[in-house]
Amino acid sequence: MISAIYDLALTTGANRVIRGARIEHVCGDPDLGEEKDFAYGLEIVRAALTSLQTQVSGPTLFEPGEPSPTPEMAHAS
Amino acid sequence: MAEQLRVVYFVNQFFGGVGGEEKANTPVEVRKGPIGPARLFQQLLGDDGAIEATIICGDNYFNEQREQALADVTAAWTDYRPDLIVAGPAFDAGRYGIACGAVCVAAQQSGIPAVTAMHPENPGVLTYRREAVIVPTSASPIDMNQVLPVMLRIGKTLAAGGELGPAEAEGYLGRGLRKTATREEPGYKRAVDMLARKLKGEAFHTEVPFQAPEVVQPAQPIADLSKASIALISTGGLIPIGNPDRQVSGNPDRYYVYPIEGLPALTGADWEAFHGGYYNQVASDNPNYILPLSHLRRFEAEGTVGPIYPRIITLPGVSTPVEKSKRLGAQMARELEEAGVDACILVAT
Repeated sequence: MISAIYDLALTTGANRVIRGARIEHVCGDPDLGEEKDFAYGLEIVRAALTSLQTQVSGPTLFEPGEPSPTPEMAHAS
Repeated sequence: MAEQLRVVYFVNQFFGGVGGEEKANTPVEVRKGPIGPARLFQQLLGDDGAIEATIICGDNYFNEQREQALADVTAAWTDYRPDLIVAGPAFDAGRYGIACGAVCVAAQQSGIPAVTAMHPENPGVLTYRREAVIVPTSASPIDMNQVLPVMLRIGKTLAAGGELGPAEAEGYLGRGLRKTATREEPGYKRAVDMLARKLKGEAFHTEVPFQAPEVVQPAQPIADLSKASIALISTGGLIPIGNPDRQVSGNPDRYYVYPIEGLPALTGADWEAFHGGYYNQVASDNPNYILPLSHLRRFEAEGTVGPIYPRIITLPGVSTPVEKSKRLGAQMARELEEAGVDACILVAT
């Protein structure tokens, strides 16, 4: 799940959560200009694809745009 | 009570004594006076009122021909000018529970107070708990004698034009309503008292009941993404431009599926966002923000992922109760699984 309110997604039990940009534009940022905006969106979707290939044991946050994505454990309280 | 309460009672074919499952197609019929549980209700009512009539309808008939059945039921009670409609209890009988809920809502829409009862997991609760006053029961008629007095008490309050107190105090299932009221003690004192009781290990009563989220077992990772079929879902209210399907902007009863085969991206010329929970213009200008088709197409072209599932799923996720969301989510999962989809990416706004 890609969400800008990722804390909520994690707390409510979504297991693979990708940090989105903003609620109004989850998969990118129009302020970056067309090219960078698209690249940002690609990173977000890439993180989503990474999450699908990653074993998780509970709600886990995946950050887009990191060269070697190491998922950060963030268990729901 | 100064005047006698005029009550019309609704039951299914079983409690109406018509028959079992073989009589479930029985259309709406009206009998004068109380029948089945209505007799017990009449005993409890005593001289305070009278069950003017009992309306009986088969479970299948009601659920298969809902509009006709509801029209017949409402027509049937009109002549009796009831002050109160009582339906059920339906216990764990799903079709009966839905009928009872629908009858209560129809009564309320005609300005007649109504009360019903059923098991908290009856589908009738899922569908009607926000509108109907439903007294919880066990799964079987074993607690009929405990439930009817509660229905009567609530029914009397409603028929007298009174306001119901909190669900817990009155004994019905919470409708998710919050009302403004004055408490005897200020919030900080109640909170500290509650904390003190909790620390002492004493019983305390929260004012904000918390429903613990369901723990979902994580799906196994995908071994070979390049062969995986990926579906895209959005809860951001993505709709074809002009809203041809007349979708709602929140609390949807269903989701919509649209073909995207051959589309390289979503454009603002063909799609827009219609969602009551956020500012939609940015996503309407570039719908890929709420359903990243353009981005995923890049990975598809590179061969990083297998073929993108040619149908997208959308709905406006805002204001949707958890139970309904669970139902819609399970439905989506089933549809995708049957279509052979390996994974999906869901964008939540």
